[in-house]
Amino acid sequence: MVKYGLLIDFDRCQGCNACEVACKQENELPVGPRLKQVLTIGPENVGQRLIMEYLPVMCMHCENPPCAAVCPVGAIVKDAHGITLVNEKKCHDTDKDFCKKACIAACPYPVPPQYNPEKDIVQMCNMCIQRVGRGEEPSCVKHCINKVITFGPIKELSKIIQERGNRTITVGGILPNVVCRPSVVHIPPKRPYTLE
Amino acid sequence: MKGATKNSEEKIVKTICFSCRGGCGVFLHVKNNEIIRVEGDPEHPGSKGTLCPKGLAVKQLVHHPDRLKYPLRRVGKRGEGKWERISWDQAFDEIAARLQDIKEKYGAEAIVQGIGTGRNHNDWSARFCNHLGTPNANDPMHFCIGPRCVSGYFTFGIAAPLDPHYGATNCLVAWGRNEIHSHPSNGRYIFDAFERGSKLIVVDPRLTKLASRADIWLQIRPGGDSALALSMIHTIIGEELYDKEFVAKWCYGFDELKEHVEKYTPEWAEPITWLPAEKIRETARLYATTKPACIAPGVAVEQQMNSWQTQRALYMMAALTGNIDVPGGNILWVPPLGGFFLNCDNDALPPEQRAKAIEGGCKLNGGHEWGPPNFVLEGPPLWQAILTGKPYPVKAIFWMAHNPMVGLPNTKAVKEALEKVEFLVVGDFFMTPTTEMADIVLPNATWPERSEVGWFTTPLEHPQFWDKDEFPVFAWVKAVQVGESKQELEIYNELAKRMKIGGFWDTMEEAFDFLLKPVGVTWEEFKKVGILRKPMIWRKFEHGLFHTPSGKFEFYSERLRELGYPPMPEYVEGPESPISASTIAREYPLVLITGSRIPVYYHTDQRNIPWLREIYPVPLIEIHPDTAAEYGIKEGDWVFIETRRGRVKQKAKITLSINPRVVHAVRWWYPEKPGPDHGIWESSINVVTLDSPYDPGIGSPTMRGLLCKIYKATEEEKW
Repeated sequence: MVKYGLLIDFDRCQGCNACEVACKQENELPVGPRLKQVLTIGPENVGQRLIMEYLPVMCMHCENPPCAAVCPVGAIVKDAHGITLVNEKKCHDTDKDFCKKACIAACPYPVPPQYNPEKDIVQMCNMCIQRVGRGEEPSCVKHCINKVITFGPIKELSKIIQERGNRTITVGGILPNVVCRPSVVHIPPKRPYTLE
Repeated sequence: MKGATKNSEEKIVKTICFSCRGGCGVFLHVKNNEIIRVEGDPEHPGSKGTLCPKGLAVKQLVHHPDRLKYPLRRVGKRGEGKWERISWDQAFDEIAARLQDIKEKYGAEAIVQGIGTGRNHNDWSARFCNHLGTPNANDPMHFCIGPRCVSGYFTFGIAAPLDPHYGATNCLVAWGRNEIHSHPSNGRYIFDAFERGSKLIVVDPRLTKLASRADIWLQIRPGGDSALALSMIHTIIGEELYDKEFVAKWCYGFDELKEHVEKYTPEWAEPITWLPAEKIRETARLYATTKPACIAPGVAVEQQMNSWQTQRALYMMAALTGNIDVPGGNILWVPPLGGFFLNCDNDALPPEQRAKAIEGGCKLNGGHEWGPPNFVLEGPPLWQAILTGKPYPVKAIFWMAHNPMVGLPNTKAVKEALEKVEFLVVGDFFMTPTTEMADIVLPNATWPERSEVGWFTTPLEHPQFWDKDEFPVFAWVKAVQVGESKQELEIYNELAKRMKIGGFWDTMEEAFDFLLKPVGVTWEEFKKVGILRKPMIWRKFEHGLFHTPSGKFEFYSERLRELGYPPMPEYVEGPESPISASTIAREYPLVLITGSRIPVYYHTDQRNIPWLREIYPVPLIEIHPDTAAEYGIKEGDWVFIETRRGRVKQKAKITLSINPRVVHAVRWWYPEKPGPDHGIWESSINVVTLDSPYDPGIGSPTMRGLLCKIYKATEEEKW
């Protein structure tokens, strides 16, 4: 089965938050869970310049997801495409006092699994698998004005990464990336900046 | 996909998003008269399938539980919030009768009728006033777009902005315009330009993402714009960087301009702009020697005194460098359905009535078919007419989609006038601090609830269309109906019928056919096609498009001189700045700028849309870390912003993006808080902005570049 990933070239991100609301709509989310978020980096002094960037982040779709590892009922699974999915029924049926939503604390990345109080489940980006099944792009990918986010088989994304100079960064730190092996990869701007 | 039916219940309607004025293409998925989803329309030439958060959240706007659904009549005291539901017939009859009565008793000029931000009904509003006989049409053009239009009229003979053409530019000057937040749909064309290697110059007191990646970022003192523009013109002329051929052939008054700007050296501008003279020179050189180059001017310049004269200086820079109406330069804006504002029917208003207009923007109406429309200043002279009856009484205000209690400067003065006006009708989507003051409240239709010939869907928001099109016009197609909401055109039609005034129609379709007549299609035909396109013609001035007395681009304007205004732009310092008001600055030492675009909101809209409010939940004031330390303010503290008009509080955002001598606060109200004021006195920044003195030509108030002090709110003062 082909493995999917997301490539985020945030040089072009304008911080408009379209992706976040596209995600809210697609997943019919109430206020609270934010599966897709746009973080602001800076403004900070880097060398002679004052720099700011926007950084879109979501579930990193790890090959070895710590959230899945800690879930006591095994409600978080990897599907054949490498997408991290929540078994909503299993999650809903689990007493949250029992599981303590361990998945959220286990995630080393900026957007951990998000708790949806209306459904009493945690949710995360599912790469809009329902749209992909219909032959459409994930909603954030489609609606992103500046085409910051690319969805596709990891093999094809790797080609794009090569074409763009083989520069990727590890949002969340090098160590978690080595262990977790995310399927979501960020390409940074060529300008200097720091990640905090 | 267009018009397809998914199953017996769900239908897909292709229309145009108007959550701002961008006009992106959308498919609305509708089931049982409810929008269940919105998707971008990949066939739309501008948005190409993408949308911004304001469009993507539209179902929460249309189907919001607080929507106004029926006409309401006030039953309690004004502002008490007691209403009774009435029918549209009752509403129309009562409004028509009251307006007729006031017209007979005091003259039509006692009626002010107007709009907020245009939702495709600017011309209808002005047309209604002209046929009713009142010169007092209001349009908040005095601090948005109007200065660009007015200076366009006096500079190159068209009341329109000279819009930047990002599609082919090699140098973009973003002047007080954070395009990627103001018009997010244009972002891609800007980032494409960078990838082509386009230069970027940003004039902005705040560090934006554009500023952070600019070749030159000028962190100008708020209010220093005219000085910067004039000193750049000085440099361009002095160093002979101008396009001699274009200037000789197409410009009028170059020698006068050259002499005029001699005194405006970059050294002179340095203390006024807080920018090093050498950096100003470097900027002028980069702009003038990179071809083609475009200037994107924003409202920052317009919400100051001298607004339109500063705009004139910016246009002059474009002409001096030969960047007028060429690919990658600044574009002359000519709609395909006749001139912009041509459907106002200005001729219907007798000259003796026009002469009665209350002081304000209409003074600069040329009375020329290419001239700017009439509009009265919504400000001190109008409030005075209401409160004192001088120069004559104003008894009625009729506003469509307008929220001046939040949007206009000096809220206290606005409220005083609204308390006193005899008859106030306001249309909107929700109860706002303005509708709360009304006698009759009308439920307006949001964009999915209306059909329109979208000729007001401006290329300002989509300059990239100009690659292939000259101002495309789109069809909006109604998808749902909420309650009894009506769009403005229908309201004007009905009132015109009852008041027996001309210029309107029995049905909206007849009005659409009228609009489409110049291109020879009917509404029925247009609705099916969805778009009218016309090929782009560059260098239109070669075909007689400079409608100025000289037929040229006018550096020197005889028209302005005759009207008693400076024929060339001058440096004018704002009324309340560290330079003009040093005594006030001792007590109020910080410079205040207000109202930059929050990407998830448009003007005063959408604070009640859950998906958007979640992203930007509370009003933020931006403070430099040094300043914050000086005042003992920490990130997240509630901070009072006090000017001579009063104080409001916003939450501190400590950031390097702002100059230590400047703070920036946003426009705000709390739709969820109780009426009549919905929290405006707590956090709406326009409580403390300045409405007077205003620009003598068009009435622009000062909302950027005021003096304030800040201090932390104590525990009891928070909520």
